[in-house]
Amino acid sequence: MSDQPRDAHVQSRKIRISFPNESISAVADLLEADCPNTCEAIWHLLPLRVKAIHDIWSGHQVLAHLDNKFVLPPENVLTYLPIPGDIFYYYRPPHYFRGSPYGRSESAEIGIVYDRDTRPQGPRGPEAVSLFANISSNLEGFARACEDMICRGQKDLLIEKLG
Amino acid sequence: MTRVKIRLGNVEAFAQLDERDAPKATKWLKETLPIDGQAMHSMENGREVYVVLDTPHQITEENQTIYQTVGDLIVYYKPAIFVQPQWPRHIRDFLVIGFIYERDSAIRGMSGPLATNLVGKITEGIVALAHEAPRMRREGFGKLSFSLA
Repeated sequence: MSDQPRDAHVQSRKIRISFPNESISAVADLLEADCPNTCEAIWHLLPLRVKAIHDIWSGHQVLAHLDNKFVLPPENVLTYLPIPGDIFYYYRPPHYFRGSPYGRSESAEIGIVYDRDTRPQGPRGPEAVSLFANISSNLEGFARACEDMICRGQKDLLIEKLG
Repeated sequence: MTRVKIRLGNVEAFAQLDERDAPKATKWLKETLPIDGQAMHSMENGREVYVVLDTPHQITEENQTIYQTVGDLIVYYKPAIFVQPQWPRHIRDFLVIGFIYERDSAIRGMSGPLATNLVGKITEGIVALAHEAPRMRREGFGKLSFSLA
């Protein structure tokens, strides 16, 4: 697949997100019309293998830390009630929060919502995020693997280009 | 003053029950201990660890607060969706006992702050709990137990 700028009318690119140690994967559509710059930046970051951990403020959500240097400007920033399958990017500048949640005073992260009744939040309240993708297949299996992280801890998460 | 031993994974801590301000809840708790079960980390409230009580109990509202803080030992009905996302739909909530191990945490219900019965305060070992809970978040949760010290 070419990495050249794409025609806006071309069907959305897709990514595969998976827990490689469990052979569980889902496919998500990039929301290129709503969040073009974030989609493009994330696309060029792939493939990406990171540790995912269950969120403790937001509800049914897992998160993965990116390199702190991967700072993207806000785009379609939403403080909102996501739907299951939403995938978003957010960045916390240094000392945005008290202390260093997850050992980081600065952090770029990806969040994935796997069930309803969820709202992206942190210790200072609702978080504005850039919504860039939504899971379009096998959300149910992926959700069970996410839910399992509450008790079993963090897991390797692989994000790849699909086409 | 009644002391309660808390064991989370590999560490121990101790709490003192607030029998003056929460007489009914602490009486119930003393009669119910020991409690031992799967430790769960909050997915919605911040730095909270709890265990679900699997037998029915009727706990009345007593010594309640929506401003939980570090070391609080709390008993309340947690919305079922934050315990089991695939919960049986006829169950609205589960009775839980838990504690707050770091600040910037607030217990929430489905529509905002949720008042919890404050039944005691952790007096020893809060630092150990504050290290053990994040470790278990990464590596997997084990048991949480409460017993009379």
